[in-house]
Amino acid sequence: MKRRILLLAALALPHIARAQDKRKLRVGITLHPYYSWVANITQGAVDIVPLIEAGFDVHNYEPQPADIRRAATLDVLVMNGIGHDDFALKVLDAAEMRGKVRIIYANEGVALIPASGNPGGEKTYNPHTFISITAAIQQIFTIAAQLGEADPDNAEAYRRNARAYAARLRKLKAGYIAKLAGVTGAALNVATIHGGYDYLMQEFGLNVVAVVEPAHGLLPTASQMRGTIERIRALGVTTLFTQAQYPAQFADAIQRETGARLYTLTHITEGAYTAAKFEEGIAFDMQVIVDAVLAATGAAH
Amino acid sequence: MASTIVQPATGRQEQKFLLLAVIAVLFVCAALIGQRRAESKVQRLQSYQISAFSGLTPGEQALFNDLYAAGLEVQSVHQDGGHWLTLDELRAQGIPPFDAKDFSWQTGGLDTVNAPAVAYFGASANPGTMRSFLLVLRGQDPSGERPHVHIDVLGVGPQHKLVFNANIWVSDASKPAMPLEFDPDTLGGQGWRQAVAFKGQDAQSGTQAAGTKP
Repeated sequence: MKRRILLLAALALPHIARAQDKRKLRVGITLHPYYSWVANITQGAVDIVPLIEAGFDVHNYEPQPADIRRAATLDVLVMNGIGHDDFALKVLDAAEMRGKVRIIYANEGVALIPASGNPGGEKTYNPHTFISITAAIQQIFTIAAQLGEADPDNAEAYRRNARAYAARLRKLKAGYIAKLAGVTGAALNVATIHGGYDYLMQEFGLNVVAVVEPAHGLLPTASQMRGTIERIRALGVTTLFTQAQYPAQFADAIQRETGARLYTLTHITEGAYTAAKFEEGIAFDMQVIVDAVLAATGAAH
Repeated sequence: MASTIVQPATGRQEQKFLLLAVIAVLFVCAALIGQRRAESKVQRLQSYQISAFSGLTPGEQALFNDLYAAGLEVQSVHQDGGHWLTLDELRAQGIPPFDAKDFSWQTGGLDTVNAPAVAYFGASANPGTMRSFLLVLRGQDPSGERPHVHIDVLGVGPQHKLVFNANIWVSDASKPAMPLEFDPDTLGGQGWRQAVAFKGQDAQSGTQAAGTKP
C-alpha cells in the first residue's frame, strides 16, 4: 500500500509542479479603465491587482505602504506612463520591484493629440487617452499583445478577446454618434474645466477652445479665471463641461459670468474597479455630450 | 601703549561668503538647466513626412486615429487568420473610418511575397477640408527580416516580437489615384506625405513632437 501511495505521489509530482508554474499572472493596474481593459482581454486568466485602492484622486496621489506590499506581488504592471501614474514607478522602486515586474505602458503605441486650450499656443500632448473609445482600442491591442508575450499560452485568446471587446466599444460609440445623425452645426466650440476630454470630444467632432485649469491638475488663479471667461465670451462658447471631482466654484463662476450651459462628465478614475467600469463611464460621458450637442443646436426633443 | 585694531562689526566677510555662495548656486543651476536643455529632443521627420500631431487638422487627426486603430485590428486578424480584412468586412464590423461620409475607399494588394501586404486608399470628396488617406499594412516576414522598403513602425515597439508594420499617408492632391508603388520616393513624388504619429513612447523618452512651437 505504501509503495502504491509513493508511486502515485511520484506520478503526481510533475503535474503539481506544472500547475504551480501555470499559476495565474498577477497583473497590476494603476487606473480604473486599465482594470476593465485587462479584465475583458484576459477573461479571468489572470489576477488583476489595483495598485491603489479605490477612492483616491490620481492627480495628486502619494504612495501608501499597502501599495508597496501589493507591488511586491506583481508579475506585470499596466500603466499610463505619460502623466497620470508616475507614483507607480515610485511604488515599484520602494518595493524593489523595478526590473522584476514587466511594465506595459498602455500608451506606448498610442497616437497622441495636442492638449486643447493652451493660450500660449505651444502644443503639449494630452495624457488622457483613457477617456476615449479610439485611443482605448489602440491601447487594448497593445495590452493584449504584450500580455500575450508574458503569457504565450493565452496569447491568441487575448487577441481574440481584444477584438471582441474593441467591437463592443465601437458599437457603443456608434450608438451615441447615431443619436446625432442629421444634427446640423454639430461641430461646436466648447470649453472644459479639466483638460481630460480632448480625445472624446474629437471623436464627436467638437472643438475644445478653452480649458479652465491652467495645467494638468492645477487650479486656476483669479487672473487666469478672468482670462478664460473673456476667452469664452469672445469665442461665443455656450457649452461648458466640468468634471464631478473638480471644485464646483470654478464651473459655477464661469456659468454665472458667461451664461454657458454646464454639463458634468466623469473622469472614469473613481469608484470601484470593475470589468464594466470603462463602458459605464464612457457611455455616461457620451450621453452627456449628446445631450449637450442636442441642446446647443436646438435639436433636443 | 599697545594698541589693537578692532575690525568694524559690519559683517563684510559674511557678505562676501554669502555672495560667493549665491554665485556658486546660480552657476550650478545654470549648468544643470543647460544640460537638461541639451537632452530635450525633437521628433525628426524626413522630407516626405509630416507630423500627425501638429500637421493635420483636428478632423484629419480624428480620421488618422481611426485609421491607426483600424490598422491594429486588421493586423490582429491577419496574424490569427492569415487574411486581410476586406472593405465589406470592415464596414460590416463598423470599423471606422471605412464608413466615413465624404470618403470613397478602395483596397489593393502589394507585390511582396515574403511580407504580404495590403493598402487601403480613401479618396476625399472634399479635399479642401479633408485630405485623402492611404493605410499601408505589412505582415510579418517569416524569416524575421524587416520588409525591404522603409516602414515606420507604429504601435508596439521594435523591442517586442509583435511589430505593427504600418504607415499612413495623406495627399494634398484634389483627385489622387490608388498608388501602385508604395516606396517613399514614389509616394512622395506623387504628392503623398507620410503622417507620423507622436506616440506615448516618444513622450516617455522626452521627445517633443515636431512643429509644436508656436
